Amino acid sequence: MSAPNGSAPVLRVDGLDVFYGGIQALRGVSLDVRKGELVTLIGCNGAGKSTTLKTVSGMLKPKAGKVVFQEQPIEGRPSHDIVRRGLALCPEGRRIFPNLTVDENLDLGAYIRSDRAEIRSDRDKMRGLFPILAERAKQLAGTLSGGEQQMLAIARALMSRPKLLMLDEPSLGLAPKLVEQIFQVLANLKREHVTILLVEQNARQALQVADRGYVLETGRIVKDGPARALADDPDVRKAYLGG
Amino acid sequence: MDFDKLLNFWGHHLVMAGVWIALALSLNLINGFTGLFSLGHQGFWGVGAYVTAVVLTVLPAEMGWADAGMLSFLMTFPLAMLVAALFGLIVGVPCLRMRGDYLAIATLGFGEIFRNIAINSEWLGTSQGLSVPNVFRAFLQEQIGLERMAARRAEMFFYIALSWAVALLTLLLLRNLMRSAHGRAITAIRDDETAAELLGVNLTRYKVLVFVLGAALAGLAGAVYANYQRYVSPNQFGFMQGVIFLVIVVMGGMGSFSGTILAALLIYAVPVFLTFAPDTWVIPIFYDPTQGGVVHRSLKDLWQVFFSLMLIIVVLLRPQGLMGNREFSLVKLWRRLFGKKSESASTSGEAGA
Ligand SMILES: Nc1ncnc2c1ncn2[C@@H]1O[C@H](COP(=O)(O)OP(=O)(O)O)[C@@H](O)[C@H]1O
Ligand SMILES: [Mg+2]
Repeated sequence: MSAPNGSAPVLRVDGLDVFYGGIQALRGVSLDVRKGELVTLIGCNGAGKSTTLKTVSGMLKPKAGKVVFQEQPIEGRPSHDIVRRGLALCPEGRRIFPNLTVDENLDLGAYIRSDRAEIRSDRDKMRGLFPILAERAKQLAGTLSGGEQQMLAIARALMSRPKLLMLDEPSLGLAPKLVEQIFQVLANLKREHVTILLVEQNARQALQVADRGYVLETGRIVKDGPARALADDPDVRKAYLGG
Repeated sequence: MDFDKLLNFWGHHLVMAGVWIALALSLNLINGFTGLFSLGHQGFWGVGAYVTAVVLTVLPAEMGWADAGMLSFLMTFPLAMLVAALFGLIVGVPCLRMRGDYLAIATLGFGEIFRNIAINSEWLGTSQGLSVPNVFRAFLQEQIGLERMAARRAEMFFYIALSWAVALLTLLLLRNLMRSAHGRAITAIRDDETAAELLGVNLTRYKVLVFVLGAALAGLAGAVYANYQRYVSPNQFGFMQGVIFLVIVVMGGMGSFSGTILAALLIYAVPVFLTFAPDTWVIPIFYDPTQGGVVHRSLKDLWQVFFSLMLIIVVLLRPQGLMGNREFSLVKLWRRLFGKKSESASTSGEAGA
């Protein structure tokens, strides 16, 4: 993977092998994300996308391979420690806290921070980004619709001010209009130079918004390159973009 | 009825109700608010009670000290908390580091092991138990100079106040904890521990903290109980006692302090009031020709039946418990009863006091 600018990547994943019991889910997965980039990892259901993000965020321990975040090895560290280093994962399936209010969910997003004034201003920023969160501030998060919960999950992850935000299928299970809205948000975040690693099954839209992409098939990276080039690649078109 | 008889009867039940409330509250912190599953709360309660007996009875006898005085009496409370917390740490740390319900098995084992050690240890009085000297009464009579009757009354008032003060202390401590940023993290753990950890919440640390705090508070209730009863024995801290506390928590609502208090009072009070039922109040129970047809039982003896019925009714009608995870609030009640319509339509699930 060639680095166009000389700087070290924010995240470098090198030769990950990950197993579930005896079943190997990742085979030598390598990828990197540089500062300010939006990189997407696409692949079919079961390809190993979530496994990759879970391993990077410390929920799974790799059998072999390295995860280097800001030039520090982090593989095998506990998740709560990895977040503190500035690596946030917005997990698959939203996973907001239903018995806490929207505001409390956001506050928990800033759990690792102690700069109260800044946290408050970030919360206002999130309300600007997702107006629905201002309207529903005092409502229990469990009463939000699926799309609203996804907005909350993204906002919550951003509240930690991550140096790298990883999103696991944020558009999954949402109505087309909401999917559009989510990708709009991603485009906005990119404009603000938030570094993002985006996992998606929705390859068409992911490649539209991303700078670069990787294609994962049954636990292996089979292709990578600029998003535009991947979108034009005949194999990718056939397999992921419907011809 | 004369005053002292009334005081003895109602005073005793007031003390015990306070102890039950304190125990149920701290169990609700563990099982309800945090979503852990402890089956050993009676064990930590017992540890606190036995620590008291050891400090006031066993140690002075073994070491040839003078009879325990007020200082020892006062020391039983922090010591009971400390030792119970220590046992909480020993039981909790290994299982709370792992995911899954290891805690239920470990706490169940702990409660029974503790009981069996007490049963088999001469030092702890075997199954006969240990008596605890009435240090406080001796203090009232010898140091303050109260005469016997007055001292007895003062002692009863003291234990009523003490047990309810411990219940109140438990309530305030836990309520403030749950309202703090830590409380949010604890709720997050109960809702979705993976998501909580992904935000930086150290799961093990919080679970151990909650469990040890719960154990310490149970130990404190144990010291109150042992000093008041002046007697500890293994069968006071049996598994069924723990089940009753668990039922209180489930019935009141996992995640509601007011629900726990309500349920503790209910479950404690119903059998007490049943003892007032006249013997002529009988209800048919079953049909047995060998006993001459329909067999009747006095209402007095039917506590178990009421207990089960109450539980079935609550589970059927309100599976979330009497209060769910809401709190009783005088302010809200006032608004609901006397306020304008628009005011009473507050957001659901909002916690208030
Ligand atoms: N907890 C698990 N236990 C066993 N196998 C799993 C588990 N989670 C995922 N897998 C398997 O690992 C592979 C990759 O899964 P995953 O990373 O979730 O795929 P994706 O996110 O790309 O849909 C799949 O074959 C899946 O069946
Ligand atoms: Mg997935």
